[in-house]
Amino acid sequence: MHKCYLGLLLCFFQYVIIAQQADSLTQSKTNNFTHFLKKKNIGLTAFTGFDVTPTMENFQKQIRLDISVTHERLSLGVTYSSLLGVLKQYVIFPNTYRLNAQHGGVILGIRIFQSKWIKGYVNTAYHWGQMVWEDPVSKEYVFSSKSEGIKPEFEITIYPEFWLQLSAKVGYQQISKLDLPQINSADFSGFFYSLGLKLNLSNEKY
Amino acid sequence: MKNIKPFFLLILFGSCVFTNENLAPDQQTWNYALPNQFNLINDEFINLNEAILNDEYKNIQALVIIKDDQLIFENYYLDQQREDLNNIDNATNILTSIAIGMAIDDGYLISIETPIADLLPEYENELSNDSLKKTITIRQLLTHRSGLSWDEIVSENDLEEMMNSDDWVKNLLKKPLDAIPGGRYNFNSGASMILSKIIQNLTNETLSSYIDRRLFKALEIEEWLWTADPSGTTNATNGLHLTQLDFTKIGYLLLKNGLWKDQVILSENWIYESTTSQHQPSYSYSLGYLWFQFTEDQGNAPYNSKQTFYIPGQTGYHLYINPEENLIVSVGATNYFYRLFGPSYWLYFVIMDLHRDHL
Repeated sequence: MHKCYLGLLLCFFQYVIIAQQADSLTQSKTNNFTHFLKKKNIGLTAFTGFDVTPTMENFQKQIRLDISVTHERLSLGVTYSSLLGVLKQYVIFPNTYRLNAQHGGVILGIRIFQSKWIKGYVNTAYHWGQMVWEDPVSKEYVFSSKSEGIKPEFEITIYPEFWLQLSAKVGYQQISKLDLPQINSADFSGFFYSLGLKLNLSNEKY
Repeated sequence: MKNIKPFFLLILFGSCVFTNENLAPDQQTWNYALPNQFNLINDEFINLNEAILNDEYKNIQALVIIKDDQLIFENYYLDQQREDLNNIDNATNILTSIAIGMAIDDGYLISIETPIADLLPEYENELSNDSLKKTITIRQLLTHRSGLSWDEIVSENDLEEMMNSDDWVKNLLKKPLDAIPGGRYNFNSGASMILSKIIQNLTNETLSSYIDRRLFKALEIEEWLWTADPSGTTNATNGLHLTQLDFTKIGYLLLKNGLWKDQVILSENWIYESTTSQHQPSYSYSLGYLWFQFTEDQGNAPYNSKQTFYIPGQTGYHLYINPEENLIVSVGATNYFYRLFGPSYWLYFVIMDLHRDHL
C-alpha cells in the first residue's frame, strides 16, 4: 500500500509540473487552472528533505516528502516519511532483524510570520503507517505493526520570494499504537529536526 | 470548482493508512530478552546455534528457551518456522498425565488407585482372560508398570501391531501379562491409549476435546491437530501436533504450578505428585506419572537439575522444566534413530553447562 501512496504522489507531481505544460492540447485548461488558482489565492508547495528523528537509542534519518495546498496563511497537504538508517538488533535471540518504518498522513500548517527573507510556519502532521522487523537475508517481514503519530513542528524557510527555498524544522514526534517485539512507541517519540528544500510548485506568491 | 478536484483527491489518497502485511501475530506469552540479561553469555548461545545449524545435534528442528519468564532463545532449523505444526510423537503421552490430574480436579475421578477394569466396562472380555489384569490401576499405567506384555525399545512390533488394529485399546488389553501389575517397569507409550479411553469414559468427551476445553483454550493454543484410532479414541500414544511455542506453553504451565494468567488450570498438588519420582527404573532416570527425572547416580545429572522433570519423545521432541533455574528448554527434532536419550537430551546438558560456566 505504501508503494501505491508514493506512486500517487509522484503521479501528482508529474500531473502538475510536466504533463500540463508539455501537452499543447491542455494549454487552455492549464491556463484556466492557473488563473483559477491565482484568483482564489491557492498555491501548491512541496517539501523534500530529511527528518532526523529519535529511534531507540539514537537519532536516524528519515526521508520526508510533503505536498500541500496553500490558501493565504493556511496549508493542508499530505506527508510521507520512510526510515533510511539501518537499524539492526536482536529481536528474538539469536535472530537479528532490520527495522523498516513508513508513514503517511495529513499535514496542516499556518504561516505565523513573514519577512523579506524568512517565513515562519507552525505545522502539525498526523500520520499512519507501519513498522516492521524484516529478515535482512530473505527480506521477508517477520513482525509488523501499525502505528500512528502526531508531529507538531516549527518551520522556517529562507528566500521566500524564490520558487526554491531552504527549509528547517524542529518539532516533537509522538508515536502511538506500536506493538512490535523489543521496541515500543516511546523509542520513537521525542524531539526531531528536519532540513530540506521547499518548492513552490504553483502560485509561488503564497 | 471542477479544477479543485485533484487536490481533494490527493488529500484523500494521501491519508491512506498503510496496511499490515498478512503476518501472524506475535506470541503474547513471554517478553523477549537476551541471555546476557541473566548472567549468561550471548556468544556461547550463538555458538550453540551455529552447532545446531551445522547439524552437530542431528536434525534439530526447533529450540526454545524460557528463562525467568522471558523468551531468551527461539530458533528454527531445517526449513521449519514458528507457526509449523509438528508431531510431538510420544511426548503426546504427557497430555494423559495432565488430563488425569484435571479429571481429579474436576471430580470425574476419585483416585488413581482405581482399577482400570472399573472404568472400561466395554473391555470386560479382554480384561477377563487373566484375573490379575483387572487389578491394573491408573497409577500403574502412569508409571509404566502395568505388567502388560510390550516391547517398544528393542523392536517396534507391538506398537506397529497396535497402530494397525481397529481398536488400539482392545489390542493392548488383549496382551498377556508378563509381570505382576505394579511390579516391573516396562516403557509403554501405547498404554496412554488406555488412559485416553478412561478420560473419554469419565468425561463423555474424547481426550482431545477435553484437553482442548480445559487446557488448550486456557493456554490460547489455537492451532493443533490430534489424530485418533479407527474407533475414535484420541491417539494419546503419538498423535498430537503442536507448534514449538505451544508445546513450550505446556511446560510453562507446570513451571508455574498450574497457574496461567491468575487462573488455576491444574492443581499444584497434582503437579507436585506427578512430577516427583515414584520409582527409579534406571541409574540415569526416575519416573513420576509419565514425567522423567534425572538421577544423581554416577554423576549423570546435568547441572542444577535435581528438581527438573522432562518428557523425552522418541523423535527428539523433548520438554525440560527446571524449577531451580526457572527455566524451560523445549526441543523439536526428527532424530528418531536415537530413541529417547539422543541429541535432544544432550542439548539440554549443554545448555545447563552454559549456566554452570557463568554464574
